Amino acid sequence: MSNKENKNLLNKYLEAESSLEEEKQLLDGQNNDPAMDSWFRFVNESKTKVPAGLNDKIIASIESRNKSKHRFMNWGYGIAASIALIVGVSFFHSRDNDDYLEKEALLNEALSMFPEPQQQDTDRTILYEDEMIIIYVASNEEFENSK
Amino acid sequence: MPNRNSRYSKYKMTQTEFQHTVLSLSDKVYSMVRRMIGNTENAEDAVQEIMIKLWDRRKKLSQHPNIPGFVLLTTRNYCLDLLKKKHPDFDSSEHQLKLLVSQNSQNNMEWKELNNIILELLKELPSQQYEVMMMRDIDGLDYTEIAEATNLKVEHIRVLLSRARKQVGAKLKNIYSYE
Repeated sequence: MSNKENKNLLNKYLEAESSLEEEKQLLDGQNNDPAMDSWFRFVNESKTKVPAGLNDKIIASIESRNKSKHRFMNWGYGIAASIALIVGVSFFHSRDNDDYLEKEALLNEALSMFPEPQQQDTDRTILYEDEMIIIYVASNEEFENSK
Repeated sequence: MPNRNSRYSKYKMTQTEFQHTVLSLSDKVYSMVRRMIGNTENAEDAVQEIMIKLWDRRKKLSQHPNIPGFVLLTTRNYCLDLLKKKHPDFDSSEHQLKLLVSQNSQNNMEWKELNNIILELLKELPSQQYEVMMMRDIDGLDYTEIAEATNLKVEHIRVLLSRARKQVGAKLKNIYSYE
């Protein structure tokens, strides 16, 4: 860098128009200007770099943070699954109950379709099976009448 | 590459991207922290805390139009909070001078004396000029980063920086002309 170029660069620096690249040039070189050179030396010696290994330490703590979060999430999934299971079981349980009530209502309805035996001689046999009831009525006549 | 500028983007930075865009700024972050809070050991802890804070906020961070600026803004605010906690009567307009220079034992007496003079010259600067000058010359930030961190306009920053450099330069010239 010629003297003139150097002077121009120093001027740019003082006007805050120099780029970071140009400022590095000034910081690293001798500028034939004792006042500015001592300032640049001061700046250079004040600059710090991040201590070696700090970035690795940060990466490690981010990673362990992610892991502990996952562990927590697994616990979360476990708890959620348990709740789903309980809800599911109680739901089916109540559905079974409903089924039972429904069947009972159907049975009563079916039974009500038959006239109450009014005569002693009416022979009636009711067979209950799992999903079916069979009613044998001996007195066909009365059944027809009541219809 | 997902669109970082979209406000509604659900994009979340991966760890590799975080290392590339945020952790790569740790020299600047460390420089700022070290300069503002002084103590080297505390500075390391502070940088680590700042980075983890940023990692936790990476979703918001990845949508920011100026990520380095936001990182440095977070750093500056963190340091100011720390200083206020330590000294409840802390006034952020009073600038902190915690530079390393004078700790170097290899330096001769003459240079040490000059260092002290420069530190005194810096103390005389208005606080905004001082801060902008430190961010540019010591931390090595570009103008958009300084603008984001200080909430000042780039043109204003250039004016402040130019005044600070001229004042320090002129006063040093005076000292040399006496010798």
